[in-house]
Amino acid sequence: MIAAALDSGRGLAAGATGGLPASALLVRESFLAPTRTGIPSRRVPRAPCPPVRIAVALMLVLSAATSPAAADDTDQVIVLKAGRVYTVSGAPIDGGIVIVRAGRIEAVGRDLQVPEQARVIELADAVITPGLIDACCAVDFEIPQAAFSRLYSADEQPSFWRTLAELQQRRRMDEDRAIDPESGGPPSFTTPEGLAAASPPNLTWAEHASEVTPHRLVSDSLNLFSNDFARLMKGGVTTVYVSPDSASVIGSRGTVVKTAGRLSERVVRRADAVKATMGSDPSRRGRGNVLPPGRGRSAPPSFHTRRPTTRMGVEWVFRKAFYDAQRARDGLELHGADMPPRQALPVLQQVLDGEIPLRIQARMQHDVFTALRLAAEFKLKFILEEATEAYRCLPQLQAADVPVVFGPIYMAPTGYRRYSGEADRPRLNTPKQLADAGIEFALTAQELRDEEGLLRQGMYAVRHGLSAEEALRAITATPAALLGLSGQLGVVAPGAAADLVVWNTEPFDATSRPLLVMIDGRVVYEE
Amino acid sequence: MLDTRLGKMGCLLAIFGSMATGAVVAGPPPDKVALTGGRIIPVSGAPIEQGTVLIERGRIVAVGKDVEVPYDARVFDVSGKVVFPGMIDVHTWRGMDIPNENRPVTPHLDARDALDPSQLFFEDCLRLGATGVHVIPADNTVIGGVGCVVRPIGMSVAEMTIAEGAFLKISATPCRGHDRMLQMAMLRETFLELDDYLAKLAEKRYEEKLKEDEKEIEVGPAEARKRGRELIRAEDIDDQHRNLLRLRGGQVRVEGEDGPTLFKPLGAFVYCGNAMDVRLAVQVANDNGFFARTVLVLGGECYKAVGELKQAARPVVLPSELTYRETDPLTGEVRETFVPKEIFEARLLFALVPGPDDSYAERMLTYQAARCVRHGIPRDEALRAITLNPAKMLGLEQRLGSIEPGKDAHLVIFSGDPLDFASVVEKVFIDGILAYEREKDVRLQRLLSSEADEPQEKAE
Repeated sequence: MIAAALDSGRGLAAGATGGLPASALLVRESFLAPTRTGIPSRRVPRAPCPPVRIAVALMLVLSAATSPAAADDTDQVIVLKAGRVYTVSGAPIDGGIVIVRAGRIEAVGRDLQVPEQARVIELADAVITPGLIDACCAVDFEIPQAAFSRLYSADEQPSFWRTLAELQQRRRMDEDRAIDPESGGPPSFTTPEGLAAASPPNLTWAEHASEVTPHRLVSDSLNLFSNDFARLMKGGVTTVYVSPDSASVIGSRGTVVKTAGRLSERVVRRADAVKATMGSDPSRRGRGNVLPPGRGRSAPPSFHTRRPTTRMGVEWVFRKAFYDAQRARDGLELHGADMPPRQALPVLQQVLDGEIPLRIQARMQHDVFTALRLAAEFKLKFILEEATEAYRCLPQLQAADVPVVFGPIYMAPTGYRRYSGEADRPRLNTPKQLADAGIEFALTAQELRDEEGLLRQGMYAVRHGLSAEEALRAITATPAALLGLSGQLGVVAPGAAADLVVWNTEPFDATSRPLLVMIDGRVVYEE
Repeated sequence: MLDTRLGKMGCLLAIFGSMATGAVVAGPPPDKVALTGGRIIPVSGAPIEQGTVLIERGRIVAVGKDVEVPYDARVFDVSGKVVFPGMIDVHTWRGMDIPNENRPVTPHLDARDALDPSQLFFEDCLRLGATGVHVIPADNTVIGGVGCVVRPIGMSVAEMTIAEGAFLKISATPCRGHDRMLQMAMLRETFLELDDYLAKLAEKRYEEKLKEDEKEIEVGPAEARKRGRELIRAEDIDDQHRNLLRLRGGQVRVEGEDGPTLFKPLGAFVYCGNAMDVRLAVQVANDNGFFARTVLVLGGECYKAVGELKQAARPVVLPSELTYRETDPLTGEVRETFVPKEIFEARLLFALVPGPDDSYAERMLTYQAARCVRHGIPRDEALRAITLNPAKMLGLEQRLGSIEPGKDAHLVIFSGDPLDFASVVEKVFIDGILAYEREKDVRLQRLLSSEADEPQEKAE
C-alpha cells in the first residue's frame, strides 16, 4: 500500500488528487498475475481477468465513495479562540480569534463575528502562533537503503562519532609507522572499527556518483510516512525544507513539505533550491583516494574514493560546473577534467539565471568567504546555510546582502558536525549578532529534535539576547520568505494557509508545549 | 588554623580564586556574609520577597525579610535577583575517570579514589548551579563500589567531600556481557559468600581465643561458629567484605543469628534499567537487609512498574531522558510517555538528574524541572525534585537542599525565576564562599563574545 502510494506520488508529479488512483492498483495486479505460458510478464498494465476486473471495479466504487476528497471538513469553518495570537505580520492580539475556512485563514482579530455552524475551539490562556518552519531540516527518512549508518543505528549515540574520529586517528598513526599490507577480505561496516577502516566513511545517504548532482531531487527519496515527521509536527514544526546532504559539492535540490496532513497536500514544492557545500564535507569523501587503507596496495580504488580531496578541489568543481554551464549556454564545446554531468547543465543555467535558488553550506569563516567570492564571480544570489562562524563574517555578509539559515545553537557540537571538526568555534549569541547587523536570518534545528528542536532553538536564542518577537519571526515569517512563500506561510493573516500551533503558554517558555497543531485547516494533533 | 573549617575554606578560596577566576585572593573568607534584597525561594517554605540571607562561618543563620545584618558582614546586594538553594546532582559517575571497573563485583572500590578535582565537569556544575554532586560508579556493574558526595570546588578530594560515602552502587540490570540469570546469581552469590566468610571467620576467631586461653577445642564446627560470632572484631573483616557487611547493616550474622554491629550501615543505589528489574532489586534488598536504605535508580521503562514502586515506597532517581519513547514492533507506531508524570502521580519521592552533555538545555536541572511543570507537575514539587528530595535521598536533608537556618550555605543567585529559561546563574555560594561569578567565567564569556572583542594581532 505504501509503495503504491509513493508510486502514485511520483507518477503524478504535482497536484495529485486525494485517494489512490486506480491505475496504481492495476499495475500491481498485473505484476503479480502469473502467465499461462510461463514467460515472466513485463510490468505493463494488462487487462486483468474478469473476476479481478470486478474486484477492481468494486474497489474503485468503494474508494470513490469513501474518498477523502469529499468536501466534509474543508467546507467547515473552524474558529480558534485564544488568550493571545502572535500574527508575526503585525502586533500580537490579546483575546484574539482566528477564523479558518477551506484550509486558509479567513480572518484574525479581536471582536470577530463567529459564523454559524463553525467548530469553535476555545483554549483560554493559550497562545496561537503560526506553524513553525524549519528552513534547513535534515529529516531521517527511516529507509534503510537511504541512510547507510542508520541501518546499524550506531550513530544514535554521540560516542559513536568520537570513537570513529579516534579510530581514524589511530589508523592513520599506524599507517605512518609501518606499511602492513592487509589483505584480509572486505572491511566490515557493522562496527566503528570497520567503518574507520573503510575510510572515507560513507556515513550519509547522498548520491555519490558525481560531485555535481543538481539534477537530482531529495523528494525522490522522501518517505512522508517517516516517524521523524510526526516528531517534528509534535514539536510545532508544520513545514520543513528537506535539505539534501552535504556530501557533494553541488548536490541535489531540496523540497518543501508539510510535516502532517493530507498526503496529497504535503509536498508544497517538489524541487526547490540547489545545495552547494563549501568546506571539508564534500572533500572528506575522497581522502583515501590514493591508497584504500586496510585493503592493501594491490586493491583497486573503491567506490568511496573520489575527488575532490581538498578545499581547492571543492572550489574547482564548483567553478568548473558553473563555467561549463555558461559555456554550454554560449554553444561552446566542453572539455577538461571534472565536467559536470550533461543533465546538470540546464539546472545550473537556471541557477545562473536566477530561476532556481542556490544555497551554500559553509561553517567556517574562510569557507564563507569562498562562497561569497564564487557567488560574486558568477553573479549568483545565494542563501548561506549553517554558518557556524557567521559572527566572524558579519561585515562581508552585510555587504553582499546574503540571508543566513543559522543553526543549530549549541555549546559543543555533536554528531557529524563534531566529526567534521569545522564546528569547534561556535558562539551562543550569533543570532543576536546577526540581528544587530541587520542580516536576514532564519533559525534551524537541522537534525536535532525535541528539547533541541526548532522551538527550543528559538528559546536558546532568546536566552542569549534575541527578543522573543525576533526569535518567533526567525522560525516563522523569515523562513517562509527565504522559501519564497511569504504571506502564504509563517503568518497568521487572512489568505495565509491555516498552519497554526496553539501553545499552553508563551512559546519560548521552558514550560511551553503544543496543545493543538493545525495544518491546512485540519487539526493534525490535539492533546 | 588549618584544622578549623574556616581555615580550610580559606585555603580553598585562595587556591580556587587563582585557578578559575583569574584573581588571587589572599586570606580567609569573610566570617559573615549577607545577601540582601533578593527574592528568596527557600523550597521548604513560601518565597520571600526582598529578603535577606545571613551566613556565618559557612552556615545559614537567618533567613527573612527583616534580618539584621551585622556591621562586619560582607554584603552582596542581590536586588532583582532570585536566591535559590544549591541544586544537587544525585547520581552521576562524572568526576571519576571511567564509569565502571571491568570486574562485575567490586564492593570494596571507592569513588573517592578516582575523583579528579580538576575535571571540567566540576566547573560545569558551578556554571549550572549544582553545588552538591553524588559521584558514584555507573550502571555497567553488579556491585560497583561506594560513592561520595562532593562540592564542585576544592583542590583535593578531602576539600571537596561533603559527606563520606554512604551508598553502594548495585545494578539489577545485567552489565555488559551478562544476562539476568547470571546477574542475579552473582548478586546472591556475593552475599552467600559473605555469610560463608563470616562463618569461617567466627570459627577461626573461636579457635584463636581458645589458643589464647590455652584450652582445647571441645565442640563441633557449628557450635564453634556460634561462639566465635561475638568474637569477630572490626579489624578482622577484610576490604572485600567490609562494605558488604556495612550494606547488610554492619552487623555480623553467622548461621542466621545476629552478632555484634561493627560498622556504620551503608545504603544502596540500585539501578533498574527495565521494569522487570524493580521486582528483582526489591527482592535482593529485602533478602539482604538493606531495603530500608535503598534508593532505586530508574531507567526509562520503569514507569511501567509503578505499582511495584509504589508498594516498595522507596525514593527513586529518574532517568536523564525524561520522555520514554517506544516503537510498537508490529505497527511501527511510536508512543511517548513522560516518565516524571507517572512517578509523581504515584506520589513517590523522586529526584531529577541533568541530561546528557550534548543537549544544551537538558544539562540544566532547572530545565528538567521546567519540563516537569510543562507536563502538569506542580512547580513546588519540581523544585523540590532538584534540591530537597536529592538531599533527603542522600541522608543530608539536615545540611542541604533548602534555605533554612542551620543548613550549609549553598546558594545560587539567578537573574530571574529559576524555571525561566532566560534567567542565568549569576553567582554561586558554597559554604558561604563566592565560588562562581558569571561575569568572571572566562570560558562562558568567550562563547558570548563577538568578533569585536577578539584581541587584534599587533602589527610589527
